[in-house]
Amino acid sequence: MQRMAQFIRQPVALSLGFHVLVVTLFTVGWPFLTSDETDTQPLIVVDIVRTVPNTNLAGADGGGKAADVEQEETLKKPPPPPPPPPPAPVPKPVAQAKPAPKVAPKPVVDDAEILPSKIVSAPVARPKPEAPKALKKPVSAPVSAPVSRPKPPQKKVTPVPKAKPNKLAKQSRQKEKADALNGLLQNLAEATQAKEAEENQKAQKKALNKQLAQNLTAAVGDALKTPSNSSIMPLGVSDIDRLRSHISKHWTPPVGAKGASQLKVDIFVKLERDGTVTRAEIVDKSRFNRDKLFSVAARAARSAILEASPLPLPAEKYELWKEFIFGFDPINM
Amino acid sequence: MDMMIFGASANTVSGNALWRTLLLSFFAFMLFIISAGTVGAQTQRLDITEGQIAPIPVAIAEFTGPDGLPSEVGRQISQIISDDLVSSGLFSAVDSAAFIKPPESPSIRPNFSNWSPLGAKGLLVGSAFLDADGLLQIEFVLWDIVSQRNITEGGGSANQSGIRRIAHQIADFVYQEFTGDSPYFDTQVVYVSESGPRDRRVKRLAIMDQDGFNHKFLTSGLDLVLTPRFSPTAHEVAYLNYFNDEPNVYLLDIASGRTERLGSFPGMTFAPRFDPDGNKLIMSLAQDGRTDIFQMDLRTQSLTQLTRSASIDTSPSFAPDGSRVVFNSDRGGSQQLYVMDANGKNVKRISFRKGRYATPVWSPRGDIIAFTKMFKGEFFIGVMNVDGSGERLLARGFLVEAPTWAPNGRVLMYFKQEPVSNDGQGGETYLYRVDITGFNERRVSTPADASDPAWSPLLQ
Repeated sequence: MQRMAQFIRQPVALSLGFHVLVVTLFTVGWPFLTSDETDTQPLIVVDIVRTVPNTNLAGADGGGKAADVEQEETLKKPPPPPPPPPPAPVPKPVAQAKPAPKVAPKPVVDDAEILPSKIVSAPVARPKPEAPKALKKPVSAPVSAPVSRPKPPQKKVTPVPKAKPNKLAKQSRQKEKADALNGLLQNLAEATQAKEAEENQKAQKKALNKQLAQNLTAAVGDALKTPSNSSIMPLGVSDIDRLRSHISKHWTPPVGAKGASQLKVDIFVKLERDGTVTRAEIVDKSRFNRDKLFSVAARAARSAILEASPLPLPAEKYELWKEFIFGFDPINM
Repeated sequence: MDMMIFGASANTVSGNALWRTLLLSFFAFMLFIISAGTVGAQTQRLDITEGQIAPIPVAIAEFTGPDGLPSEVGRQISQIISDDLVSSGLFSAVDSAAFIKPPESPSIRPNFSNWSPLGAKGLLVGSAFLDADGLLQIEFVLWDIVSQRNITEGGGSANQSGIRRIAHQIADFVYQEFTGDSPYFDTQVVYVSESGPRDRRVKRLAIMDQDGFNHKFLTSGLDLVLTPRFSPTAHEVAYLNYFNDEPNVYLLDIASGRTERLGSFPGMTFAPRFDPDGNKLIMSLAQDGRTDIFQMDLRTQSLTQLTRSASIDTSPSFAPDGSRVVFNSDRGGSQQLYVMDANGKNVKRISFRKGRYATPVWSPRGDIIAFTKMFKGEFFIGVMNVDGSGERLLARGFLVEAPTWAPNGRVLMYFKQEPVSNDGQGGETYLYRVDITGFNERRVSTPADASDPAWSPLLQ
């Protein structure tokens, strides 16, 4: 086992094991993480801390006030602070995470756009990992304590009772018994202390792991939400149809020329919030310079974009379409 | 033992922590990849596959003189350019009455805000005037109004007789820049001019610009002439001349008017066609009840037989690269189109639809073949791909025949004859042309009835 442990600690072995177990990690790893009770606990605990600041736990923990202050600050902010979204299998945190999904379907422009940017910049995820730290001890202690420690003290006690069978010895035996009992109690007390120390270590490790997981999920959740926005507010079918129809009215491709049906032109477009085209560039510039027919097709495509400006696009989804590539393909003409 | 057990349990705990850390690192890595991918995909993409097939609106300003006002010759040139472009069906001319401020010189950048509201996509500005030597001095600039860029510009000088040609050449510039196709306005057409009663028809060779101007007769009309064919390299025409009911092939130099008799070919009904180099002729000859395809070397006048069949093989036409020949034959039981190598091998049928096919002509750009089709008592002019696919019929009538290609392979010309009524009326025969898209069929103006057109290459 020690060899095994040394082997696992080597960086090369770690990398090897990491790559070999990729598939296994996907299928087995996630349930392994999520099945741990303690992973879901902090989400419940956060509510307890916020609503009951004067409990013994809070008073015993010196950091409690600081945590409360941070939480109060977050509550005072006019827009509800976007929570670091966990994978969200637990029903309770969903209630906290509701503000974000609610904003998305609203047609309000500012909310929909400000929200993701705040999620990116503000490190809102910090308060939560701190709160679970203080509350992990009582939660984890009863679970792990009885499991590993009682046996060693009992084994130490068992060889002690051997003694001579005299009358005087009976008294001494009784004394010894009493001493033994006292020693046993002392041993038990020591054992429980050692148990508690080990449990504390375990709890700290779990807390660290949990914090790491929360930070990661929160950070990735923020990254997924904020810049791309595609999962939150994609362009609808009607948006795309309206846009396509609008541009098609302005596009007069070179039809009938040899090879014209195979001419596909990409135009890179930058747009203002009102749909005004501020830039329309032919992507394949080298072909534009050397291929006459392509240059004609490209000019026609660029003209279509410029004439179609402003493009009919939903302003509330501006972050999605502020840059566009339009592919003009006359294959159906 | 106790220590070992304890140690083992301690190792188990640290192993779990390591395992958990590995898992978390892995998921963090995967989620980072996913999030990075979505973050990077910010630029949306949309394909536009349908547009408008409509003439391109172009503003053609009257060419100005040195004083910045439209000159007489400038007006004439602008009108020729406008007529050329509009006749192609691919352009529409913006009404000059709508011009807010007509441009004064091609060297002055136009105020595009005056042109955008007119819907014009192009603006042609030029100057044209006669200098002290009587030479025409001309300059022009073509602007893209939408992008506000100079597309092309040019200039030159010519004598006064060359006004129409220089105007056609400027129109060719505009055509080329907006369509991507090679031009065809500076070309001529040779055709058979017909006159007189039907039983004593007079047929003469005539030549004109593609727009019908500069018309001129090439033969006197004493002999019956048929099926002129332009040489691809020289300003020469080969044609059939019937003298004493015997077909003779003549070669006519248009500039000098000199003719050369290449020989008498009994049974010949169509004039030979040139190969792309202009050094050979390909023709069909009837011998011993059979009609086969032959090739003649113009320098040696030697004949080489390309097909040997009991059927009628006729009306051959070279591919523009000279490697293959298309012809029609009834070897399959009905008149269909076939393609073979230039040496007569690898004969392959390409037309399989109902009807009879005749007079195939390979497009100068090589991608399609024009033909005449007879089906259910009607005639059609159509095109198909060189493998026989994609057949499209572009024109129909009581009699439509003899398709000929513009040098850019974009426009077809043919003749169309109206039916003759019982009282002898009707029967008019005119030249028409149509875009290969099937749009813009237009009659070509000729002084009399006309048939058998042959479109020239671009003039040198």
